[in-house]
Amino acid sequence: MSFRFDSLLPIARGLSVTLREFFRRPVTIRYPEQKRTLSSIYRGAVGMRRRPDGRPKCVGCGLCETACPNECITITTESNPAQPTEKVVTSYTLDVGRCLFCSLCVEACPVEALEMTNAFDFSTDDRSTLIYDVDRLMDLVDKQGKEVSTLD
Amino acid sequence: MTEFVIAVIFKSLIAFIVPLLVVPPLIWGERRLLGRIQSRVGPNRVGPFGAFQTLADAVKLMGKEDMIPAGADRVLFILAPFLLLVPSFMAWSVVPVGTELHIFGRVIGLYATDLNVGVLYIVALTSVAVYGIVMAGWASNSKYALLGSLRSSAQMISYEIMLGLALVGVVVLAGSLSLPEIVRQQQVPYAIPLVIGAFVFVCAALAETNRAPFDLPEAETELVSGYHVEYSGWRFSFFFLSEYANMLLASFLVSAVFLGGGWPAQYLEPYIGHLLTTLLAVGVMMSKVFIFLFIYIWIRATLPRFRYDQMMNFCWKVLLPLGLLNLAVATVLKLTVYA
Repeated sequence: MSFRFDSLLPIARGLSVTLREFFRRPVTIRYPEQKRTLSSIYRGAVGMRRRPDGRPKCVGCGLCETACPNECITITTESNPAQPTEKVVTSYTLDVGRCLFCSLCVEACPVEALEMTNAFDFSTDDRSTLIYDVDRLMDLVDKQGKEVSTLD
Repeated sequence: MTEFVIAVIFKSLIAFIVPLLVVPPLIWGERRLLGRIQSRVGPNRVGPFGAFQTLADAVKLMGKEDMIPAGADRVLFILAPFLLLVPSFMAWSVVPVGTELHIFGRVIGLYATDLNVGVLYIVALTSVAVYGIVMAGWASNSKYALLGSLRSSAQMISYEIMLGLALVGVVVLAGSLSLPEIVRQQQVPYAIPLVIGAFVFVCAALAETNRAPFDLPEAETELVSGYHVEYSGWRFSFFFLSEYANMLLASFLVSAVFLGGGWPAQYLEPYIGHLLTTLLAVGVMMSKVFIFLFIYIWIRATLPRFRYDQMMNFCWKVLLPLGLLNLAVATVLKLTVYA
């Protein structure tokens, strides 16, 4: 006979396993209400650090723009008539929808203006809202609760 | 006479509405249970603990486009879901929730009708459902649906015999084909003397309702969803509804036929009176039904699907001899203990 009655024993064992699992707590994290604690080296979106006076730390050199493989950083600058050696950053935008979180811009920055934050939940219905301006980039760093670097 | 007609209409309505009312929570309960067993939560968004999830799904299904594939046999395609759903609801007319309730000088049977060939009626109706499945698979003009329906017809025709064979043992002991009479006859639930028959019946019922581990007709991995792949919208919901109504029916049958219905509540009658006893018996019956439904879902969460040849071997080489043995045991018991 192809059927062996001692094969019912493993079935009983399997049933006991599923019953045990039934009384165990689910491992689900109910996402929008609960969030898992991220690792301290979690690499989320790029954020912009502030100077002590609250302005963005960026000096407008454009190295991050060059380093970015996806061309998601756009910087526009103009010269400062009062101090011709210094560029003034008029806009700094980063398209989070195109960013691949590679961290190359952070490594390229000579003044450590950029850092990888742990922000990961930026889903939206409209792609254009994913283009972050400098204030939102600084917000990302602020929300992390990290100290503003005193390096200038 | 009018009283009789009103009672019949009322009971028929209950027999029709009960499956409709119980199936949505049953589907929700199954999904929650499966979720817990798989260390997750299950549907928990719509309503308290997700209890209205099935209703939301039903509304969604009603709103979907009603598609009939090109090349389908339209008449059969439209007819098939009804042929599956109608028998599974018709069978409810003989399912007893309890025996009799004596109230206000009247006798009210806790079943829609006491058919003197009730067991035969149910076995006959479950056979009709096979036609619905074969027609659905054939009419869809799809190879998955056809394969699913071929598997399903082979499976259901084979396991129907075992279902009948397990019930024959009970009929021999009870000396009646009427379900309320079978319930009344059980001083001891038939699952105790006919433990083999109960085993055969439970296996056959799992296979007959196309549930895991016998869910070959809708094997998602190979056949997408078997005989109802091409169905969408409310036509699909008919298949879904009839599957769960059948599952519920099988649970009621096991509870009534093998677990003695309201047993052992009837022994309390001298102490707590007729009305309380009857209510208690119905409660006991329902809890047996729910325990059996839990077992159904538990088995689904545990066992992988049979291979086709394994399933057929199990039916013809294991359940058939066991069913015949059960019949022999029942006959011997009838001539000795139950004489």
